[in-house]
Amino acid sequence: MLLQIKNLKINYKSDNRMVEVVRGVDLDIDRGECVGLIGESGCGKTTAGLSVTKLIPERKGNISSGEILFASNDILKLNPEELRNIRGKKISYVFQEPFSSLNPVFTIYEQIRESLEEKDNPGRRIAEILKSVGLEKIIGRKNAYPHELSGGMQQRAMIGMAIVSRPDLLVLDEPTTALDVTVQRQILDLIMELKNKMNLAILFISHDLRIVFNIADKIAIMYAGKIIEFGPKEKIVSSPAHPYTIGLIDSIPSLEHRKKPFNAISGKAPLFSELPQGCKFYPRCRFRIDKCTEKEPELRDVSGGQASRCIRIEELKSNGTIKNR
Amino acid sequence: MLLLGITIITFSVIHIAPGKPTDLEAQFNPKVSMEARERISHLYGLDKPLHVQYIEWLKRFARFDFGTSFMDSRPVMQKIMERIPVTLTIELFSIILILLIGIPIGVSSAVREGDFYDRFMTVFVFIGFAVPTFWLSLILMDYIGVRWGILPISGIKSLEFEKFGIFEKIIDISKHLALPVLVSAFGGLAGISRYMRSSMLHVLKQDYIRTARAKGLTEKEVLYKHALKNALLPVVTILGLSVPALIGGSVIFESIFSIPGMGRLFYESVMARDYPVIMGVLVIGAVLTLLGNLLADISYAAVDPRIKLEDNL
Amino acid sequence: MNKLTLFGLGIVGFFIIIAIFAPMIAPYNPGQIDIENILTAPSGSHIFGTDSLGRDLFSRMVYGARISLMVGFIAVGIAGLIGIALGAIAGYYGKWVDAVIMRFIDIMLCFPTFFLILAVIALLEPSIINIMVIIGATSWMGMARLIRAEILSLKKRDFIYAEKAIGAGDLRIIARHLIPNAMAPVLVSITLGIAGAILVESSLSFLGIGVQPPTPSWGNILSEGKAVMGAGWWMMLFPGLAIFITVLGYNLLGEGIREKLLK
Repeated sequence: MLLQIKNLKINYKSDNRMVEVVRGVDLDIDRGECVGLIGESGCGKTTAGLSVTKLIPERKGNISSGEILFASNDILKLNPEELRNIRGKKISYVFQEPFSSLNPVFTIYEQIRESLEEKDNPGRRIAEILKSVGLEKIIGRKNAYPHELSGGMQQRAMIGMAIVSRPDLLVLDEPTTALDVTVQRQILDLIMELKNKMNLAILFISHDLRIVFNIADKIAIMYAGKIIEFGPKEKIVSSPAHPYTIGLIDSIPSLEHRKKPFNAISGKAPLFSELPQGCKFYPRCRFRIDKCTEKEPELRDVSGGQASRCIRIEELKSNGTIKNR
Repeated sequence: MLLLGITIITFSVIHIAPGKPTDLEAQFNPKVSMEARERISHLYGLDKPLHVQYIEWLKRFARFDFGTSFMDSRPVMQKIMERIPVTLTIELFSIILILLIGIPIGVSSAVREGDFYDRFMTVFVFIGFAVPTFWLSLILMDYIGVRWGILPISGIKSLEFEKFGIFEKIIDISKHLALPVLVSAFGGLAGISRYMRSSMLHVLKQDYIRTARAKGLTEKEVLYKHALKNALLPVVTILGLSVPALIGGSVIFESIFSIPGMGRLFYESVMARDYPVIMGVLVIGAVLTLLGNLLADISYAAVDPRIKLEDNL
Repeated sequence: MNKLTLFGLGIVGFFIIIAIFAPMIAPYNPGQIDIENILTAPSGSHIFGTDSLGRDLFSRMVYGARISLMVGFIAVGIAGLIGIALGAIAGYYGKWVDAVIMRFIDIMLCFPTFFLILAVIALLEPSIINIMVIIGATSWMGMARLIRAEILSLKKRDFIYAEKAIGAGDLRIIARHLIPNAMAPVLVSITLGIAGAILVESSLSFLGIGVQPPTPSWGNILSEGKAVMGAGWWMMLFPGLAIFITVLGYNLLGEGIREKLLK
């Protein structure tokens, strides 16, 4: 197992207070496997993602407990030099806003070159990378600056920077959200292609199930700082095992069935400072009962490889209230 | 266009003053008769209507002819040109000092934000802002100059200057300039380090710094390569904009340390109501400021790849 | 509030009180000459010592506070009036009005301010009123720019359209709605401006073309201090210290306000 996150808890600064926004997350990613981490904004998914190589600035937040095992080494226990050897080389990131994630005063060439391990003849390797991310136009243009590129090209450059040293794991945090819809598709295809060519493991963080569906092998749904459902993607979509997941899938506007009404999930995500007792989804759940407020449910296996925190899910499925799609 | 405005203001400033320039001369020499006064008036064109005077003055100004000084009848331009090098040298070294000290202080304060070091430097910098230059000059003069005799306190050369070899001449001038440069730099230092700090803090919050860390770069590379270059950009412009402040300040320390520079020339000519010189210095001062701004704009465009020079010129 | 800001506020308040209650605080008449006690060091009867005419330094300093603060406030007041008015007009009316005013500001900014002030003061006579006016007339540019920027962004807001829709006149809109909302950054300018004005006034007085003796100003006391450099350290120390602390106070206060605003 390439990456094993165990019981990760993270505090984050919000309005001058420290609030626990990741409250015990377990996640495994195997070599060459793509795991999608889905959730609404503010559920803690980005924070969890950033913590994989300890990228959360100290004044903003801290990891209070847990382990992040990468090839059996706990990242949280590494010294700064060892950590640097992992960052950008074994585990790379692609962030949401490509324009602000690239340094405006350095050329694309220079920024890619920084990530190179082989110091001689960088030109050749850079040209290779640019080609593999679809930026052939820039090969040879040593003075190209980020602001001269379109959004899609900038993101391709970011991806190029990330894969230059052939990492084992790529963490993508909403990589297409800031791009035009037409460009989104291209970037997703590129990521898929690279995953297959390089046998990349991927942690794909997004708020949108559809984006992640094609490329992911497994999907984890996150709510209020914990994973509330996990499993192979086909199972998650065809037989979701948590009311929240069901809500997510139902709320996707369908282009084919125009007459189907929007089914947004009622209510809002809770504030981390005001979490309810017991199951955190209780206030918005269609299937709630009193027992749900007793204590926060555990993540348990509900059918081959699929896990959920809903205590009623088997019951609801067997009595037909929840049907598979 | 700006230049035109400058000249208009300069001209109006002079003519706010009551009394005619000739009065002063007459005071020195009460025997000058009415006719003589009128002749002088005519010579300087003071008896013509204001706007005519202005046009004539403007014509001569275009040729850098500011007329002759009332005080010693030498061409104004010459007097100014004599003094400019001194003042400019002091300003130059001042700026260098400000950069050498202010920028590191600003950067290190930003990196250690909230730390004891940062708070200490903040206080230190505020003190620098608030100290009146003339007070500082006096104190330095008193202690370093008079009591401890480390550095000379007046003029730019010692009496035996002519007898020195080249090397000793340089040292002598440096010693004389040391205190003025220090005083001149003091306030600017505070400003630049503060500005540098806030610029650096702003840059450190940017996404590309996070990217740099995610790439596994060393902290040094992140700070001094990625962050610093971006943070320096606005500081460059500020430098250019601080030229007028430095020039203005020169009046004080040049007077105190008896430096024969533009500031003191201005002060002397103001006291003596030497209008041609006053106008000349005002205009030249403004021109220098404009040059400073231009320089700032150019350097900014040179350093920031996002700006194209043609847009601004 | 930040400790430093409080400290600044304290200093500012302290000196304001001293200035207001000067007659009650000063033990001696600041103009009272006492030939027998020329240049005496600080002692029980004269806590700051005496100057070269035997006048009590402490009393002169206390009255000097009045002058310095008064000049500071009024000069900045004048600068504020000009700056806010011009900036508001430029921002509100835009187009050529804006262009002209901005050009004017650019031209004014070209001159080393101190040179201008020096020239005008020396050519007119150095009276306190002249000083206040000229300092005011040369330091309004920053505030004008700030107000203009704020108004440019404010005038597009809905509540302005609402006011126009009910037929409010321009002046009313500018004066009652735009300017109050745009004041925040100007407040910082004003505070820092007072510090600057005090520095300028004392510089002028030091050079002999500010407040004229026998009226005491910290600046001209300091210039006396220069003349008697070796013989009277108290003449150099106290006025300089007073200027320094006052300016520091206003700077701290101004920066504190700025930090508050940035939140």
